[in-house]
Amino acid sequence: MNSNEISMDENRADKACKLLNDSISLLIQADKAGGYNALITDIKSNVSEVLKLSEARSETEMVSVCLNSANSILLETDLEVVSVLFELLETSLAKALEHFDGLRVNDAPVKPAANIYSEKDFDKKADEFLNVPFDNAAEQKSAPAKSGGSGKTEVPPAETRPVPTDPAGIIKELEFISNSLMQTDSDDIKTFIELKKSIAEIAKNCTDDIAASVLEAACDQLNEIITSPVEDALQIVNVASAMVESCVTHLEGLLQAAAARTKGASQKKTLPPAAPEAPKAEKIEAVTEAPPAAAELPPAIDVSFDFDAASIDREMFLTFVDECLEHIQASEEALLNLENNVEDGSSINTVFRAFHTVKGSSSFLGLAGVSELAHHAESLLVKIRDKEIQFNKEFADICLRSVDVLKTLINSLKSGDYKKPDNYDDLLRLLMSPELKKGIVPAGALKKTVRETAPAAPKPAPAVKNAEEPVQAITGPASPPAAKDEAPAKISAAAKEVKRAQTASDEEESTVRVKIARIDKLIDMVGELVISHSMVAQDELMMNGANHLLVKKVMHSGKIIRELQDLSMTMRMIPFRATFQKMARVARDISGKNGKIIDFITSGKETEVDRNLVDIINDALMHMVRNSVDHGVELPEERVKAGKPEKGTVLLSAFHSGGNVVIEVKDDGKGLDRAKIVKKAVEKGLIKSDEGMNDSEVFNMVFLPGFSTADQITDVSGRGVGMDVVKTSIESLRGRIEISSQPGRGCSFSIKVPLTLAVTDGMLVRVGSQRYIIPTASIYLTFRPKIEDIFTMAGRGEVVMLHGVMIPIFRLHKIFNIDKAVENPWESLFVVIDDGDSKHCAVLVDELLGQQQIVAKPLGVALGKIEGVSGGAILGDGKVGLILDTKELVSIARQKDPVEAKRIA
Amino acid sequence: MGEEMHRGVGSNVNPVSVKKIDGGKFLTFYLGKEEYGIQILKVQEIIGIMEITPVPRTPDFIKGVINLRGHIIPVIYLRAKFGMPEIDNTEQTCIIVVKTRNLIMGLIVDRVCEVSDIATGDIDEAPSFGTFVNTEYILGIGKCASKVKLLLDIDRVITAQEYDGMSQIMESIN
Repeated sequence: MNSNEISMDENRADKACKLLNDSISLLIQADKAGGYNALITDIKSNVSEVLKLSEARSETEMVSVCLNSANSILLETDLEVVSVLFELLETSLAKALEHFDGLRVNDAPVKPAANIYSEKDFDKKADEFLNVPFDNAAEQKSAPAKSGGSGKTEVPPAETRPVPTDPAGIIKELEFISNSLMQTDSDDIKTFIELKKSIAEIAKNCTDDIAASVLEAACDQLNEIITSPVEDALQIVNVASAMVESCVTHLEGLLQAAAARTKGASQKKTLPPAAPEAPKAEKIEAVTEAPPAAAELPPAIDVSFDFDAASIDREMFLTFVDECLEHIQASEEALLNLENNVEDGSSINTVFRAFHTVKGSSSFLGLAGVSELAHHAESLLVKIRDKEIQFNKEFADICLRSVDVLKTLINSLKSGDYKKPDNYDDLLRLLMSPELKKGIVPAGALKKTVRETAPAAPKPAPAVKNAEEPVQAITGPASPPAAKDEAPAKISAAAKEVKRAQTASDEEESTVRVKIARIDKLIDMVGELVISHSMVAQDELMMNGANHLLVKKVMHSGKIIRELQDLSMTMRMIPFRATFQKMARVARDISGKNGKIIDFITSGKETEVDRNLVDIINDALMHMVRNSVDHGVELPEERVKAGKPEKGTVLLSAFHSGGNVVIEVKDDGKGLDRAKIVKKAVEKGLIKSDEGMNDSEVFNMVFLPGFSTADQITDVSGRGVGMDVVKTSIESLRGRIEISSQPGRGCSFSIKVPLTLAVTDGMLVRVGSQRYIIPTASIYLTFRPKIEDIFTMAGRGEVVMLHGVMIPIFRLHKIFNIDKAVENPWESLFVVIDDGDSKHCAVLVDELLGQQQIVAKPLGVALGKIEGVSGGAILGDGKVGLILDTKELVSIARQKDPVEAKRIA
Repeated sequence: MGEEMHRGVGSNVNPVSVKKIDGGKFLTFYLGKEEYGIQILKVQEIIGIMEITPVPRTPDFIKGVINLRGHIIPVIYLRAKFGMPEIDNTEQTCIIVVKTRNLIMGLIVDRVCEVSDIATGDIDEAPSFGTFVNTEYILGIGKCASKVKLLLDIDRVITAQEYDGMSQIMESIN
């Protein structure tokens, strides 16, 4: 409670006091008059008014609780009950009044230190305040309430029921609570408070951390109803009840597992089955251990993959998916980190937190498949975190596999075909295998199936051997009780720590989720604004200089608009972090498979790039990293032989360079083998010999379709579909890719792409009456030739001499059939462009109109793909200008020109 | 009664591809002396003729693209599409912006006429002229106050155009 907050409360407290005073006087009136119905309505509105005033404040939470309960009393219509309730209400209101008065006193600026309530005091007071009236009330009105007959179940307060500590007692209690929850009216706040208290009590006494955490969550749910009137109270109650139910099921499973362990196979189960009314019970208790066929086989896992997406609020579901994916990504990153730095406590916590959250929210949504996996992975992680087992590569593999399967599951949820992934059972069996629990990695852990190794396990079916007895267990076989004894305390402490850490990081960088479509639209609109502004700025009225002041104002708005544009551009930018992490994973997996030892170093992962580009860059990078690891870096023996350190290095870096993003993949492997490339190229008939070809020309041949120098085709690379795809996709982004390599020293690829596709620098050119835009990035230079520099070849193909190099000429007006263009090159201009094969060509245009930033737009689906034109842009005068695709332009021109075509062939 | 007869005849002539069209509101416009109609729900707006940026290497009936408040949309010269001679724009020439599925496209017409209500019963099938006249874009013929209105299958106009454009490009490549 700091003084700022209090002063904000001042007016509200005043108002609340007034309302409460009114209410009390009304109440007294009502008590006397007997005919209370009309008065009650007034009181109710007063109280809800006060509630509104107070509900936003955390300190006043307790007050609102009591007011809420007052509210619920008012809802009671039974005459007998009412008189008792009135008393109660009066006390409640008086207490609330007192509290608000207290707040007002606190506000006095003269004595800010004299807070009557410190936070602790307040809690205490509020507790007293809550307990006293309700306990009294519960005793006083137990008789009338029962006769009220509104279907309510009267729940004795927690104090009257001793809180059980033995599991069976807890289960009974929980079942009772869950039933009560289901039967309670959704506006019966008081009962909820009671139930919440009982749940909290049980959660405190519960030795099992999972149950405790679920119960805590249930409390939170109930709190929501209690503290503020919620519209979907019924739903929340259902959820809470389902949570309690799941706890019951879980605890029963634990109990049975324990019983089975201690008393052997003949042990009959002593516990009643889960409460039949549980609405979501089928989903939560979905893990049923099927009777083992042979005693020695590990339990078959049958996880329900039923999921009815329609039954869940769509918004909630999408948030869940997004969050899960985020968590999964974070955990993947942390796992990779952890591998390099085993002692990194924060990383393991990140992973743990991720799995924990995924588990919680998925079981909440009834996704047994997800929660089951997350749960088992989490139990493994707990052991790692508590240093019970040493984290090593094998565990990393298991964890990463869990991450992968989770990712698959969540993605399948998103795409709507939620089903069991192929390797799910194997993984689950692996996670549940007893060796893992003891910290030994099963020999078959890295294999796809663990089935062969499983029978060798000493006592693999820990749950039940009685084949007739299906055991319902949310956890499957529980970990040995010995491990449980000290664990819970540690875990809950750690969990709290984690929670705190999370909230801290949340505060550091708060973000808002916005739909991409909206951002795109915003960026579009800003683009339009820029154009329409430039239309205003270029208006004749502005240009003639008569309106000096107006010009000034327009210039000012121009500045703001430019800033707005810059800002809107950055909104779509995302860092490379996720991409790099993905690459690290790829490198790790491939090197592991190939027996290579690799240090994967990244730099500049905070470099930002338009998110539209990221996916394409991702794919390209994936190819290149694979190449580097698979083909570039040699096996350790070879490296040692070559006098290099055993460990190879692959460096992935990203940085900004003049409006472009440069991404480099460098390795210190054997480099590209020139002879091998030449041999392959000759074999494929691409060249006759490498005579006169420099290194870069030779290396660039690896970008040709179907070109692969790997001797063997592996599942990683070597099919020869890699590099040409990379090149095409990078070029589709108006980027370029370069190779450099030194034999024996390594090879480096560098990708250069524009920061964003939204805005392009373009050169506006005129041909005849038409204007076109040539992307500045693809212009090498422009010049006006001398008449004597122009030559024709065989009377048709034209070339121009530039710096002693012959460059083929293409006339834009011929390619596009434009009338009234300048025919004589020496009277017009050449724009020298790259022809896509690193050779230059000159394109004849009439005039350069200037350079400008353009927002590229599609020409409309209906037109389809127009060769030579990559899109359109709205020019300063509001008309459409076509953006030329220089590479396609050249290929059209060559098709049109048989001489040129022959020369290339 | 007469209508029934007509329909009966139509279905006898061409029993396979019976184009069904319901009555409703149609925006009608003129191309030369012929009056055409488009289902009003397909029409997004009508704009005056404006400067059109020609797009190279597209069929003749594609006039080019225009800037429709920040969106670039292609414009079809409907006369060319139907093989009518090209005429100069008048002040009555305008562009009907139609939207079907995800395609937005402008149609240049000589003159927009009216929105008329044509009942289902007043719509006949397009008579077949054999191969002489291509009626594939005609959904039906609406009869309204002793005039006929040719009801266009706008989806087909657009998609057929798409196909044409593609084949044209293919041709030029080969």
